[in-house]
Amino acid sequence: MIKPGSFQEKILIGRLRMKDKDAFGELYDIYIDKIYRFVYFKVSSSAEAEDLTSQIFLKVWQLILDNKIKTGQSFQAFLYTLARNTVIDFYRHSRKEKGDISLEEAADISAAGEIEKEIDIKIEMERLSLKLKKLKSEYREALVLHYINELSIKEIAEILNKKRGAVRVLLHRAVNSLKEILK
Amino acid sequence: MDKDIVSQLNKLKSVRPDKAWKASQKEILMNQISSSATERQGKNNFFLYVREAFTHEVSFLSQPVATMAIVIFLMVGGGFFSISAASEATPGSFLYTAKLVGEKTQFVFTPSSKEKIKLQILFAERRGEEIENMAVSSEDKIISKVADSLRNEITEVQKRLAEIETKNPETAVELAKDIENRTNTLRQKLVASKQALSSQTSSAETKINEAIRSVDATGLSALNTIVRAGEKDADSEDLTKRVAAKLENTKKKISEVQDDVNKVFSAGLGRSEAGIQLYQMPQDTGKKTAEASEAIIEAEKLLKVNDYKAAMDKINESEDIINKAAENINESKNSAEEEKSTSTPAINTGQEKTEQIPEVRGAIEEAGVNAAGAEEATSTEASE
Repeated sequence: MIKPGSFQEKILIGRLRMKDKDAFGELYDIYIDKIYRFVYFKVSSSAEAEDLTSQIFLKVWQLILDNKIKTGQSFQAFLYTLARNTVIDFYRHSRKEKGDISLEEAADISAAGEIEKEIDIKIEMERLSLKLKKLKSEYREALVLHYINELSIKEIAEILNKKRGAVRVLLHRAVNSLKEILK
Repeated sequence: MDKDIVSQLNKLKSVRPDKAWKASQKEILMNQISSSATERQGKNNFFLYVREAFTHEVSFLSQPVATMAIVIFLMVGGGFFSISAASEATPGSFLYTAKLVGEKTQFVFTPSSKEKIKLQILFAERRGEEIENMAVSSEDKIISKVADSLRNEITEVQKRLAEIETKNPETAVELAKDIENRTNTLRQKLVASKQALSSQTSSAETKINEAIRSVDATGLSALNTIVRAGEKDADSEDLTKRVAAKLENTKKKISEVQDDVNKVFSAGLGRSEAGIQLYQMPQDTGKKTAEASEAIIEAEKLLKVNDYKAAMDKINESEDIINKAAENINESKNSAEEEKSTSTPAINTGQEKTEQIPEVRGAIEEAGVNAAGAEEATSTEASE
């Protein structure tokens, strides 16, 4: 599997900029899970997350066609920024914010194996997801990007257009805030 | 407690899209994009992909040292050369070629016209610094080459600005303001370098003169872009300052050409007194400086009434005229140098030279420009 930011990925992006369809397919495979997960915790409904994720990848292709890929930014950061903006636009248009995750929707999530374990995980995730929703939007976003999507401080800083120090402070406050909620 | 929260959050990494949805969605997307996709260039077209890959890595490639690292790695695959030494290399040194290759590579990998033009100006400025540092040396050929390189870069800036202006006038104006400022500074540097030349040989001085003319042409072109845009702009203060500054520069240029004329005359006079060489000044050079001065006086009047476009037309006219005069002087100097090396001494006639001087002097007096050499010629004429 090609790592984000690696030289191989850069070659892939080079091909993508030349409107290579196969390169687009390969990048889709690398990033689909991450982008879906990022969007999922912003909308908390798998159907909406699926729709928005599709829109995001289609936008990537359109930006390639228009030669509008931002320079000086990593592809991963670019993709997350695009995802973030797409979700913001979604809320602006729909004027709603969903927070619930049902057990049925949790069933979409890949399970470890045994049914009991599945249910335990789902319940746990439902609980945590609900708690996450109580957080301030920027706290939730920072936690999802760092702890769930495993982005570095530097990458998060690039996406959120903040300094690294500010991102560290944000994460610290987010964790403390979640701690309070979980008490 | 923190670790507990983090481990709980980590569990949420298992959130993934449905596999069936992922696969079907990919198929749908690939079908949607297929009409606008291009054929893959070929697995072996590695360099093409590398070039495209790094065109978006502007922040990385804007570091000359990093670019040199790529160039050297690609060329020799090793770390033999000191990268920092290459970026500081002076013309004529072993690593200077690597420096130029690094600049070319950086240019190729730069995606937008806007960024390219900024790079070209930067490269021209570097050539200017190199000339400045070498002026006191006797490396005539190298200085000439560097001056040629500067001329090429700055000429490309002019062309590229014209292209950008047709597609994106706003961006062109923004660039033009920067170009105009930087060409003014570059010009001053080149003029100072010319004066500091250790040997006033024809080739280095001629090449620097050519470079100065190209820099002036680009600066003028940039100012024309600004003026064209400024006609729609309410704020005329900046415009007035820029046009006035250009006017002053053109006046200085007329003086410089005049000084060159006088220098050549003095040199010619000296040589003919020794019975070695007759120097013939082209007939219309004096007339040209007069015409250039007249155009500038008119430009000043037009600027006073804020008729920027008309003022620029007159400045353009004056610049064209004075450039032709400067070229004539260079040609004459070059042919005199050639003749000196091949011909036998000629007899001084004196008469023709004296006839030349009054025209030039007249133009200077009309334009109100001082010329110490012309005064000397006047007293010679008066005594005869």
